[in-house]
Amino acid sequence: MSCFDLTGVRSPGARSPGARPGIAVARWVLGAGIVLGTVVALTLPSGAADPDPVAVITRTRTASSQTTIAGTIEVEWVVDGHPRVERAGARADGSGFVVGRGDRRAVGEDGVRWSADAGESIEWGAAADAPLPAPDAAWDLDLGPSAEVAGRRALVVRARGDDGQVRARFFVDEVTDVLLRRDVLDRDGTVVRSVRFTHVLLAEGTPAVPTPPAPAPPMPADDAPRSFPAPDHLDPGFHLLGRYRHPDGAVQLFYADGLFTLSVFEQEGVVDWSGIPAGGVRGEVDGNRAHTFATASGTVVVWGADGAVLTAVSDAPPDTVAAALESVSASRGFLPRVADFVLGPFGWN
Amino acid sequence: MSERPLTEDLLSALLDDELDAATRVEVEARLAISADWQATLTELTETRTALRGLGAVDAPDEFWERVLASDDVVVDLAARHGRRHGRGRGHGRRRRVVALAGVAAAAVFAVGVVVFPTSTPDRVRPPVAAFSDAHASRSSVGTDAISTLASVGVSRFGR
Repeated sequence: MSCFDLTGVRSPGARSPGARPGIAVARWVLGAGIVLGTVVALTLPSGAADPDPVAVITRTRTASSQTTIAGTIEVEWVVDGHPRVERAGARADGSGFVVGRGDRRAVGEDGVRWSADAGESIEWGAAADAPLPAPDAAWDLDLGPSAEVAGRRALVVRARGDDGQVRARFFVDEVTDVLLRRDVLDRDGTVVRSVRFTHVLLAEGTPAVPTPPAPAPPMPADDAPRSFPAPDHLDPGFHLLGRYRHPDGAVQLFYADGLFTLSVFEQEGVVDWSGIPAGGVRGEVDGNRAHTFATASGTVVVWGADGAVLTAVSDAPPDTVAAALESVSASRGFLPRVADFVLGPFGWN
Repeated sequence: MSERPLTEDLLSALLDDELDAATRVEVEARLAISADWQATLTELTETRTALRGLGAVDAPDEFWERVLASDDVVVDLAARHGRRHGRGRGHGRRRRVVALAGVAAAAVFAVGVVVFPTSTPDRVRPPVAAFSDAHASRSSVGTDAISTLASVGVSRFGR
């Protein structure tokens, strides 16, 4: 029944006849405190309590391998303007994980990756490589409205390019930090590739993850041969993290920009075009014949130049890949004109 | 396609039956109205036929002598051509000289093909699917492994 005059002017009817002066002072101080607290709360930035998007993405890098989780994953990508969808299962138990369907599976444990399809096991020497760039090294990150993915609440981190356009969205489980969905967008804001959980089960009783067979690590390439230029940086923001020589002699240059990755595989010789997958779009890079594909892995480009066969693979937006390949061309002394060609399979030309 | 210039690459792709249906129709439409491009297509076809008809040839014992001799002939014929031209010799003679020079050049080319075949670069079939998996595999180290490796678990090219 007590009544506070928040303006400090005592109302004749607000105070009981028998109230003592000390109690009145206490009431006044309490009221002033409430006013002050309200003012402070209203003047603080509204997002002050929001999670840091960089920290959110950083936590996703290890969350899925440290969480007991099982679920169904859907990969959707666009070829010639038409969507393709493939599904696979995934489970992790904190020590390892398996992703795939039937005989086509990838098993991981620490730095070991085993492909059941290829029957190969590889231990990547990540510890010796350059560290992964920060998530915001090449992209501006912010938080969008939260969303729901596979029945779970998710924070949404958006990555924007220099033009301010959203080029990727990352949906992160609010409880486990597991990346539930990842969308890559083109310059027009259309999703060109999406990887997402459609069903999620978080429980201790998820099935065991198989142990990868003994690895056969690729021979590390301490330095690329002179015939294979290895620029330390590719536009717009890729950094060389490692270079590897595979058993077949191919040299892999591995780049990352903090959110996306790109590999350039280089082999000596000329392209035997009868051996590449059907489909794709034929074009030219540096005046040489080339093919580009939109795949579940992202963008794949094959071309030949200067006695080398080059294959680029990247999960980045297609125009970002095009910019990076222009750097590859420039590093080899060619006039880069690849952008329109790389964008071809996505139906933009 | 209407904005794309017709190129020998497109004609090669036409001959190799590598064009999609729409592009093929457009290329054939361009050919139908251009005698020049029809001639180019004919040349390409004849060249391919000629090259494919070439079998492996064992160089005879006197091959080097003949090549060296033909090289002399080239020089001599060129010098002789200049003198004869200056004296106003007939056009038919000059054509024979040019033909002989062509034969000599072909012989030199044959030396390159038959005697030094190792100079031809290796034809490489890039294992595109394996490269895609290797990329996903490396990318999954140090970042979200499940979403990164999902592509390995599905049909990469959607077939």
